[in-house]
This record gives sequence, C-alpha cells and structure tokens, in this order.
Amino acid sequence: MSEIQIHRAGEARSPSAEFAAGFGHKALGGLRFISPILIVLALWEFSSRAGLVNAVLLPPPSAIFRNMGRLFQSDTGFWNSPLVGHIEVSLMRLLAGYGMAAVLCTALGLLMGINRRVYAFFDPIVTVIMPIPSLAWVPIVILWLGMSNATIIFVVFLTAMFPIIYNSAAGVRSISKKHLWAAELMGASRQKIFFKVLLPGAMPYVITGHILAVSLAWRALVGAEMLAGAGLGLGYMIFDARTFMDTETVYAGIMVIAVLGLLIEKGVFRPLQRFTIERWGTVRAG
Amino acid sequence: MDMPNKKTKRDAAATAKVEALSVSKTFKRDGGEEVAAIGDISLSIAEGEFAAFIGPSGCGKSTLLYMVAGFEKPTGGKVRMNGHVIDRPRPDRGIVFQEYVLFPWLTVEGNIRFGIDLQKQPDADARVEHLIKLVGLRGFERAYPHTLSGGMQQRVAIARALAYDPELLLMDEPFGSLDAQTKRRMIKDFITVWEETKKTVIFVTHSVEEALLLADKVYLFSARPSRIKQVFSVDLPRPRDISEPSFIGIQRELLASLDEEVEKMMG
Amino acid sequence: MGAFWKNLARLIAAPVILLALSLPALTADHSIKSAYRLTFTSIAVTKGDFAEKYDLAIKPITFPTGIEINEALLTGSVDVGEVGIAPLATLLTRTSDVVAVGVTDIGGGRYKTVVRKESPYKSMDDLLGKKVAIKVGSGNYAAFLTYIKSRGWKESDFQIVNAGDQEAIAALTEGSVDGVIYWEPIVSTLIAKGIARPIFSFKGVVNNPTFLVMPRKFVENERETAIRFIAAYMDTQELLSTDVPAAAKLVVKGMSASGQKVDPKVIELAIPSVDYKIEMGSQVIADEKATWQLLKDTGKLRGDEPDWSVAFDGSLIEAAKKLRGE
Repeated sequence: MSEIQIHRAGEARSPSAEFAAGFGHKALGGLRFISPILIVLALWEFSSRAGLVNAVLLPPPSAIFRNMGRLFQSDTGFWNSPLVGHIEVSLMRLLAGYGMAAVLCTALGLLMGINRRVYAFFDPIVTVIMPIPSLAWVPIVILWLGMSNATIIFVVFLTAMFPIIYNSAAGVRSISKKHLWAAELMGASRQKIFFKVLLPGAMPYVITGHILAVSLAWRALVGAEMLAGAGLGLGYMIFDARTFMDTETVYAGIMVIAVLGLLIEKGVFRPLQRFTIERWGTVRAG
Repeated sequence: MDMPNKKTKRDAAATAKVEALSVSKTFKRDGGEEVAAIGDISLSIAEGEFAAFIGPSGCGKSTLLYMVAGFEKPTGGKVRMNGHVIDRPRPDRGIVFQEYVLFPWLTVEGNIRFGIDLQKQPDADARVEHLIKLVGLRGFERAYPHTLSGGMQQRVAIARALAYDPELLLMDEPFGSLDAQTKRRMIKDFITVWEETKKTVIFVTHSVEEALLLADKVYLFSARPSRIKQVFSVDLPRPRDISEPSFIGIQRELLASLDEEVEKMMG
Repeated sequence: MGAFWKNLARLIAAPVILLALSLPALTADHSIKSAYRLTFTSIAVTKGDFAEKYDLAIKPITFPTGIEINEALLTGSVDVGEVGIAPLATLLTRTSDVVAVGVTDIGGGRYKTVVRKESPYKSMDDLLGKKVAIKVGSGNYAAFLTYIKSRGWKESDFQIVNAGDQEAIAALTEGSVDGVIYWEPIVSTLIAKGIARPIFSFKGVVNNPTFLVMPRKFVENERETAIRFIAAYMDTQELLSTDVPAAAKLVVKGMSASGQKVDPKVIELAIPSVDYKIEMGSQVIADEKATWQLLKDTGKLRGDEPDWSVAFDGSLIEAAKKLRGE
C-alpha cells in the first residue's frame, strides 16, 4: 500500500478552507435572515402610523425602540437601567434552573441509556410527565415554594429536564453494538468505554437535548415570571406594563426576549454544535 | 487443487492458533422459534494462516467469527485460542467490520491510536506514523472519518485493528460494501500489509474470488444448520492472477460446491 | 342503525334548540355586551331582572378585574364595564375613545385586608415584609398606595403577589399568601368560608368611586341602549341600598355560579359598606384626577395628562332618570 491512492480526496477539506467558505456563507445567511424582519417592521411602522391598526395595541416600532432606549437608561448609567436589571434577573433564573437540569439530568439520562433497569424504571415516568405544559406546574410550584425566585427556577428546571433526560438516554442507545465491541476488543475497560465511546458517541443527541431544553426553558421562564415574577424579570416587566397599558414596554420586552433567545442559541449552542457534531459528521449541518 | 500432506496437517494441529471443537449455535427468533444456525463445526487454524470463511447467507460464518472475538458464546462446543477457551474480548485480537465502525469524533490518527493508547503501549507515535504510511493515509491524519470515502475509511479501520499489534486479525466482510474497482485495489494493498505483518487472519466473505485471492485456506460452510463442508487449500503465490488456469480451476470447484449450499438455503 | 339516526337527529336539533333559546336575546330591541366581574353591582344587575323592564338584553362576558376590562373596552369587545379609579386613570392616559358614564358605588369600605383566621396578624403593620395578594393597577391598589404613603411605607416593604379575583381566593385558601387586600365580595367570601378574618378596612382612608365606562363609539351610535342600561343599573343600585337581603340573595347566586359557596348573612353585612350612587359629582372627578397624579408620581404611568373635559359624560344619567320616571 506504498503507492497512495486518494479516493475522492476532494471531500476532505482543510479546516481553513471550511472556515473561509463558512464566513461568506454566514454574511449572506445573515442578510437573508434579517431582510424579511426589516420588511415586516417597515410594514408595521406604516400601518401603525397610518392608523390602519390601533396604535395603543400595536404601537409603531420606532416608538418601541425609543422606549427601549429609555428603559436602557438610568441616572447611574446603562448597567443600572431597569431593563438591564430585568434581563439580569431573568438570565440568572435561566442559568440556575437550566444549570441544575444540565448537571442532574444529563447524568440520569446517560445512566438510563447504559442501564436497562434504570431505563425501565424512569422511562414510564418521563413519558407520562413530559407532555405536561410547563406552565401548568406554576400554581402547584407556587404552593410548594411560594411566590419566589425558587418557584421560577424550579419551573425552568422542570422544563429543561425532560428534553435533556430523553435525548441523553437516546444518545447512548443510538451507539451501535459494534462500536462497543470494537472498543472492548481493543482492551477498553467499562470506565474507558464510558468516557471514550459512550460519552462522545451520545454527544450529538445530548447537545440537541440541551438546545431544546434551553429554548423551552426560556419560554417557560418568561411565562412563569408573568405568574410568579414577584417584581423582577422580563416576564414580570411585560406583565406589569400590560397592567398599565404600557404597550411600548410590552413590545420592547418581547423584542428583548426574542433577541436574547436567538443570541443564546446562535451564540452558545451553534458554535458548540459546529465544533462537535458537525465536525464529526454525525449530524448534517443545518 | 493440492491437498495438504500429512506432515503439514500434524504441524497445524500442534501450533493451532484458533480451534473450534463441535461448536453449535441456536438463535431465538422474535416469535420465539428456535433456529439452529451452526450445526456442528470443528476446525483448526494454524499460526500465521490466512483463513477465509465462505458460505451461504445465514450459515453462521460471521457468528463463528464473533465467537472467536469473544462477542458471542457458542450454544455447544468450545472455541479456543492458543489452547485456551475464549471467555471475552481481549486485545490479543483485532477486528475489521464491513461497516468500518470508526469513531466519528476522532480523527484518522485518533482512531488508529485508540487501542495503543488504551494499553499504554510504547512508541505509539512511531507505530501510528508507520501504519498510516503502510495503509496509504498520509496527509489525512487530521481528517475526520465522515470526510473520507468508504475505501479510505476501511483503510483506517484496518490500521486501527493492526495498530496495537494483536496476534489475530478478524475481518467480517471487510470489502463487502465497496465498489468493484476499490475492492480490487484494497485486496491488492491488503496483501502488501498482510505480508509485512504476517498476522493470523480469519476473513469472512461471500465472494469466492476475494477468498481465493487472499486466503491460504478457504473453509466452506454448508447450509443451515452449518458444518464445514470442505476445506480448500490455495497454494498459489501472491499476488494471484485470476486468469491463471490453476486459479480458474479451483474457483470453478469452490463455486460449484457453494452453489449447492446456496440452493439448499433457498429451499 | 336506529341509534345512529337518533344521534344524527339530536346533532341537527342541538344548534336549532340553541338558536331558539338565544332568540329572546336576539329579538330584544336592545342588547348590550357587559363586562361581568365579581362585584355586588355587576352580579346584581346581571343576575336580577332589572334589564327586562327596559326591553334590554345584557350579554355578560366574564373578567377577573377592571385591568382586563380596560383592554376589552379599548378594542370595543365589550360595550360597558365597571372600572376602578386606577384602571380608568390608566385607560384615559392611553386613549380618549372611552368615556365614564356613571359611578357604580363609592367608598373605601369595599376594600379590606384579610388574613388567615389562625394567623397572628392583627394590623397592616404586622404584614410588613409578608406576602400579600392584591391586583396591581386596580382601584384597590390605588387605595393601598394612598394608605402606605400616609404611613411612610414603600410598596417594596411588602411582598406583592399580583392576583386576579379567583387566584386571590385560592392563594389565601391554600396559604400561599399571608394576606389578601381585595374588594367585596371577594373578602367576604373568604370570611364566609371560615378561612379569613378582616384586620383592616380602607373606609375613611379613601373615598374611591368605581366607574361605569363605555367606548365613545357605543355611546354615540347606541345612545338609547346605553340609557336603558344605566336605568337598569340605577334600579340595581336602589335594591342594594334599600333591600339588602334581596340583593344578598342575588349576590349569593352569582358567587355560587362562580363556584364559591357563601353565607348570605355575611354578604348582608358587607353590602352597606359603600354607597350606591350613580352621580359623577365634582368630588368624584377630583378623586379620579388625584389618583392619576398618584400613579404618575409613582412612575406607573407614561404619557400626558388626559383631557378631563371629555372623560366624563353625565348626560346619560339624566336621560336614564327620565326613563325611570323620576
């Protein structure tokens, strides 16, 4: 085999070429993503100003952005502004609830994937509880934990746990018997099989589960804050603004929620996906 | 075909690398119905021998290979390696599957190093470098498996199985999913690799040509429940020429015998 | 097969019967979409037969509080609603498309603070730092703000739990809040159920009116219907003022339709806690302005001061009085 035969060598691209191609693609993709949004905003501005829609119910985007600017200001600077305060509280709640789920539920999910008895015990529980909309938990959780941060964090945790458990277990179960055999034959102990085969092999599913968990948790967080926000958080801000018919603040809050959700997905999970499962070719690049 | 003389037979028994003694295997189908895949197989593979298993589909040739690997247990009888009953998978064996079964999260180099690193063998870097050269993967060390063609991936799998220097190489229809052109090239290149390493090889295939191009002995499995119907010794120098009369002669004989068994399976 | 045809016949008959049942409402000369919520006046006018006298059909649509009614008035999905002093300030800040046409009742006595019966709390001071259910933005809330201002407290001295009417009842019943500050008959319902006892009344703290509010378009286009509604409403107020036991019966009926069993005796005691007077005098309008200023000062409202000159229209009351034969 000294004479080297390169089969379809074109398929093996160098990382730098991949990066360059990705960059141009990204710029174009960004434009494609943003232009429909700009068109909708322009139409909206026009309809609101022309009086085609009730300007109290649907204030023009310019008024919303102006109001957002106001909410980002305070006598002591941007970082002490009311909106930054609400964002901070919401993100901390998300981080706490999702963080707990990430640690506990990834572990449980992987264990379910590995151990048939653990799977048999938890699978029916997960299957029954998973379809319950997370906001349905809020009244019950308020009973347990009161109108507090703990309630919201727990609802976020509840929302995040199921996609993580389900996908982590599915990830382990997706690994073929032959991969495990191959590793065993090469002298891998059970511990080595876990860290060198099961964990990386389950990674595509685990990452998918976490992306799903965070996006669902983000929605549940805002909903839970509306019901049990106790004065702070983006959801509470929206709820409170609605009480006083401050629709500009309601829409500003909705926009901030959308942008933050997008940033979390595109800024945190997309790179993670790119550096793992897309590189490994275990999932096609979306 | 040249039958082995008495002397070589005795030598083979004395230095048997792998032995199957009255091995049988029954499966339970989903309906609960029991199917006897392997009826009664006894065979002995010598140290350094290149053995090929051939037979109709479902005759249990891959199953027997998995028993040698330690993945599966016989229902009856014994499988031995170096005189010891095989209890579990151990790194004195290496395996190459038809589906490559590479680790997609590791680079070409990472895949090849997998066994060496597990056993903390010395001179890993030099060994890996040599193997990459040997199987023709230079320049692709950093590539991930999914960026490679099927043939290239199988080269990685072969290098991975050889890297930690096992005594026995098990190959389960390794070229079965490659196109004809690539397959010919792989067979030719694999002969070079095998001649350098001189491992004992068990090679499961359903291609008569493949078996005869590679193996010292071809074990023909009968229809289910299988036994060894015939053993063909191929004493031709490698690389073999498929247009040579002696090759054609043995090919015709093996094909005829195999066809009889395939007929029986078709019922 | 027989069962099939029978079921089919029933299936066809059901909408026909429903249509027939709704015919009186459709055939009444005047009909009004009224926001229904749990107050003595709203329950009594809807559950009593005051409207029939004026050939008026009241179509009730249920809301928890005036906050939600605000949105319905703004979009024109109801023709009339009871809106407290604070929600009206909010509404007028955002739109001049609505108009206050009368007062449902007046007096701080309808707002009370209740705590769980076995709890140690005796006064508002004891509730500092505790969980208190209240509807943020309501007239009740404005009364609360007025009171804590007079005591030198801040809103953040309490753990405010923003709750709708049924939520407030559930929250104290379950014990997830320490106190409930709400209006009648919510507080009396909690007392009647044996769960709560009152520790504070806002009587004397404020003299807040609650308003009857209509979309301006409705008043302009269906003035006759609006007048008939106000006439029926005044009859209701008369009953609440003069025949408390009969009024209490209606309220009990309304509460039980909302799933709350109440002892009529408790309601009878609660009904006289306010005055049921339709007139929008200068003091009433001054109260509204003061509440707007209070909410503005606490940073709750954005926008300019409403045009007060078009916010109140007392002419419907005069017309209704004539209709009633006064």
